[in-house]
Amino acid sequence: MIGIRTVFFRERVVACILPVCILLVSCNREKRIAEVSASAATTTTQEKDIPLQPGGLGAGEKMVPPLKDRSRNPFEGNYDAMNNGKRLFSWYNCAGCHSSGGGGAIGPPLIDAKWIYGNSPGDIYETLIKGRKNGMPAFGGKIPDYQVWQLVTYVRSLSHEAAAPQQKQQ
Amino acid sequence: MKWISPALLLTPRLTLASALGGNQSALNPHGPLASRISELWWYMFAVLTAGYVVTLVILFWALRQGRRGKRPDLIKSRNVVLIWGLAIPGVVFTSVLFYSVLVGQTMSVDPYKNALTIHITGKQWWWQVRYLHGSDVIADTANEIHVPVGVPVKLKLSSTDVIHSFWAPNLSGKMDLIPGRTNETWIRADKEGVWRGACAEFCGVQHAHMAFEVIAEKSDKYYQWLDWQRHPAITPTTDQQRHGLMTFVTGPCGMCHAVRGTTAHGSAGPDLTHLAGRRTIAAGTLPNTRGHLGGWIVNAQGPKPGNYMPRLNMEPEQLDSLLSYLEILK
Repeated sequence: MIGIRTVFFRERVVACILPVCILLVSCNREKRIAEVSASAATTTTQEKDIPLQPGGLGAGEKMVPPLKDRSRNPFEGNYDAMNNGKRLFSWYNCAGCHSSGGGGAIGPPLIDAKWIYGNSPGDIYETLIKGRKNGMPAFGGKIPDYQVWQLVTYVRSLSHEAAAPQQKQQ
Repeated sequence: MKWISPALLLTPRLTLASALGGNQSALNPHGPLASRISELWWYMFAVLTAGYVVTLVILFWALRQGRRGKRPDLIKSRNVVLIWGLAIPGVVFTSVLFYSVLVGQTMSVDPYKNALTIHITGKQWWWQVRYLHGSDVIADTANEIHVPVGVPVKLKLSSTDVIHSFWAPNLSGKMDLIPGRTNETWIRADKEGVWRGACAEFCGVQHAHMAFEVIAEKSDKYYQWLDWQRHPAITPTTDQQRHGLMTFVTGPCGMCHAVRGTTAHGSAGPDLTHLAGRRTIAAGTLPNTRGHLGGWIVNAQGPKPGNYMPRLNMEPEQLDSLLSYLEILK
C-alpha cells in the first residue's frame, strides 16, 4: 500500500526539481558579445597585417565579422547588438539628423519601408562607412567595424527588417 | 599548517591598519559628516561588543553551574530576567537606533546655501565632474574632484544611465545618483590629501572599476588649478604632436571625446582637454602614464572588459604621435 507519505514525497521531489529545471532553461539565453576580437575592431577598410593587440583571440572571443564578407551582418537579430546600436545611434549623433528613434528630420526617416540606398545589411554598412550624397557623412575610419554592424542591426530593427531574430545565436 | 603563508597571517593586521589610517576608510574621518558616521560606528562597536561579551560570560557561567548540578541562584527571581534580559538590552540597543536616526538627520541638512557647487554625473563607468559659473562650464574633468581644504562644498549628483552612488568614506556618507533627479550632499575636507572614493551601488559589469579621487588642496593651489582648467587645450608645437592631434580629430577618438580648442566635440566619453593633469585613467583603474595610456587606447577591453571604450587598431607610429599629443594636454 502506498502511504500518504510516499505521495507527498514524490511531490516534494518534483517541487525541488522543477525550479531547478526552470532555472536551467532560463540560463539558455543569447550571449552578449562583450569582447570583440582585434580584427573586428579595425577602424579602416584596409586589412592590417600586424594588429597591435597582444595575443590572439581570448576565451569567449568571436571573430566578427569576417573581413572579406561585408554583405553579411554578424549581429543580425542579436538583441544585445541592437541595444548597443541604439546607444551608439545617440552617442554618434545619428539622432541629430534622423531624430531619436529614427523618425527622420533633416535626414530621411529610418522607420518606414522606403530605402534610398538599399535596405540589406551590406547596403546600410556601406552607407555608414562611405557616406552618401546630400549630407550623410562617412564614418569609415572613425568607428570600429563591429560598432558599424551594431548600428546596422539597430537601424534595420527600426523598420522591422530584422523583426524575426535568428534563434541560433552563439 | 604549512599552507598558511606568513603574508596571509599578516593580512588581518594590515587590513585593520589601513582601515584606521587609509585614504578610503570610514574610520579615518577628515570631514564633519564622516566624523559623525565614525562616532556612530564606534558607539555601535562598543555597545554590541559589550552585549556580546556579557552574553557569552553569562552563558559560560550558566554552563559551569549546570554541570555541577546546581540551579543558578540568579534566575530564581522573574524580575532578574525581565530587567537583564529585556529592559536593559532594550534600552541599550534602541539607543543605537535613535543615534543612527539622529546622525542620518544631520546628514540630510544642508547648512550652506551659497557654497561652492560641483556637478557630478555618474556614467557607466566613470564620473563626470563639472564646475559651473552660471550655466557656463568652467571646468570639465573626470574621476577627480578638486576641492579647497576646510571649505564646505556642495555636490549636485545626477546620472544619465543607471543608479550610481557617490561614496568618499573619509569625507561623507553615501548619496545615490539617480537618472532624472538631482541629489545633493556636501563635503568638507579638513585635511589636505587625496581621498579615494568609489561607486557604492551596483551599476553594471564594471561597477568595481568606478573609482574617483577627491583632491583636497590649499585654497590658492585650488584656484590655480581651476583657473588653468578654464583654458582650452595646449596647441601642439612639434610635428609629432601635430600628427597626434590630426589622428585625434580625424580618427575615432573625437567621436566620443572632446578636447576644447580643437574640432573634437564628442560627449560620450570624458573631456580630455587637460588629460595629462589627471592622476589616473579609466576611473581610478590605471595610473596615468604613457605606457598605461597606450595600452588603454589599443586594448581598453583588457583591463576593463565590457566598458564602452572600443579597442582601436592603430599603426604604431600613429599611436606614438597620439600619445605624444595627449601627454602635452596638461
